[in-house]
Amino acid sequence: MDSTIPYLQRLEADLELVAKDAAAGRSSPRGPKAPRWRRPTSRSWKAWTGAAAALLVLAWGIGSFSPAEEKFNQVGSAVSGGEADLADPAAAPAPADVPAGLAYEPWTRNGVDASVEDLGGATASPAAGVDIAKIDRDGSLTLKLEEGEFKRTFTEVILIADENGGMLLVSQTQGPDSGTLTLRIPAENFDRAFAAVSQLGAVRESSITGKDVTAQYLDLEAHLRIAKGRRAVLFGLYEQADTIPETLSIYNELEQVQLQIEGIEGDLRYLDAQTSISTLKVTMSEREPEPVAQQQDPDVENPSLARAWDRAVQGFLGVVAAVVVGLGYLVPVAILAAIGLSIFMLSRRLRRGAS
Amino acid sequence: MPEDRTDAELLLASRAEPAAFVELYRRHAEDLLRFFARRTLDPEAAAELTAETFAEAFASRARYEDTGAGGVAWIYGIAKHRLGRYFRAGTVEATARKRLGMPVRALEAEDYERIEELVDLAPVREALAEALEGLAEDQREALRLRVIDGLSYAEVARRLSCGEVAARQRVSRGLRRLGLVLQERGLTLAAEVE
Repeated sequence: MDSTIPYLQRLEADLELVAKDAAAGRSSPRGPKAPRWRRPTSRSWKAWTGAAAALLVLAWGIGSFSPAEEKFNQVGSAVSGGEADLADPAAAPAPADVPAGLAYEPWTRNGVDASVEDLGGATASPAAGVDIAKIDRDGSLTLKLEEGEFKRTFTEVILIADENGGMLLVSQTQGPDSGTLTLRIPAENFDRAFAAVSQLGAVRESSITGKDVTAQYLDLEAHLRIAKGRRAVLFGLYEQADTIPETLSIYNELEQVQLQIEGIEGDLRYLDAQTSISTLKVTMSEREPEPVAQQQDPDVENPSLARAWDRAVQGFLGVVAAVVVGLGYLVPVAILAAIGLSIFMLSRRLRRGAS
Repeated sequence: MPEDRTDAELLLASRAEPAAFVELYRRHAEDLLRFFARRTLDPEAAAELTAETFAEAFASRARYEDTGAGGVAWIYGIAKHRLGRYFRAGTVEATARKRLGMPVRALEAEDYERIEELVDLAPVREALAEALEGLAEDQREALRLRVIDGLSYAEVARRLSCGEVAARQRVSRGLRRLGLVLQERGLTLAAEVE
């Protein structure tokens, strides 16, 4: 029965449209809107699997390249197995905070034959910019000496420390042809001393480590200023106190602040000492150092399934760790993106509903 | 070609063949509109309730089971549910239409006239006027405040300087009296004010 009421006719037309939509591709009787969740087809499985794999690879990439530690200037040690390493400047460690043209230049330019005197003015004090920073630096050198040179070189190392305002802290000999010396050198002369000592023999191993404590230093200075200001205020209150309880209370506070100030000043003195004096450890021998075990690949020398399994497990755990680290970066981004997408979908739905 | 399937068969068929539902609509749209208009005495609300009922029936047709009561009974079940919600909330919901993407259409001038003709409200008005005259003064006033002005029972009680229970009783008795008068004349008016 066709209705003669216009409203019902319009409603019939609307229902016909909805029925057509439902018939054309939307088998669900819930209406023309696509269901929120459909059973995944093989195609969508592939898409989801691909997306998950891409996400894991991305997470691994991010995790692999994320900074692992906060150390400012860790300079790795270069282990040299022979003379060839010295001919290659790239093999020698160069600390990042040493101004260009300083002590390392003659060493890498002239090789092992350069004399201490050749350094000349190249070992000038560090640039003004470095003075602002508080950097705690230490170094070590392993030298191979010519036969009969140990005693003379031993004395020369002490003289170099003395010439650079430093001192011999510890010395230790192993027989007549080898020994170890630990020197304390003022930071501004450390590079020059390091370069000079490295000229006394063939360098087999060298390393310099640097740790930036500038932020820590500035932080302590700020705390010191605040504590001193507080002490001044407490002094003022102390002088104005009228009653015994007030006087005692302020006195106790003053005592605490004074202790705090002394603690901070002690820390600052320690950092000053650490950054103004560097330690250089020199190991010398007329004999060739024992080959380092790491230079041989044990899996090549002595193949072993157990070692291979260990390495495989380590590699797997390394990849998993990198993925976990990467997910740590990605998950917050994904959550934000999901929230944004939800807001966008919701606003679109509301607009559609209003229209 | 005339459709010879029953309402139940049309509803069942509409799962796979949605157009079958339109045939069901053609059969019962006017009756349902009359059903709503007689109970609400409001052409707008009646039209909206009709649209919403059919939209909900279409959206839920997969849940229909032929129990022997006939397809139209199932649709009237939805209609009664919708009507109850309308009386409780005072407005017609449009959730089913929105879910289906159907527009919420307004009535035009011709629609009002046609719906009044369809329901034939003249005898209803006449019967109501007579029934109202026959009501006690307190019941008539209670009905006016509650049904026409739409006040809460607490407010009705305050206006009539009586308790809320008494106000409810007056409204209830007044509606029952109106219903009896309309029934005597072969008319129906749902007293679904609660």
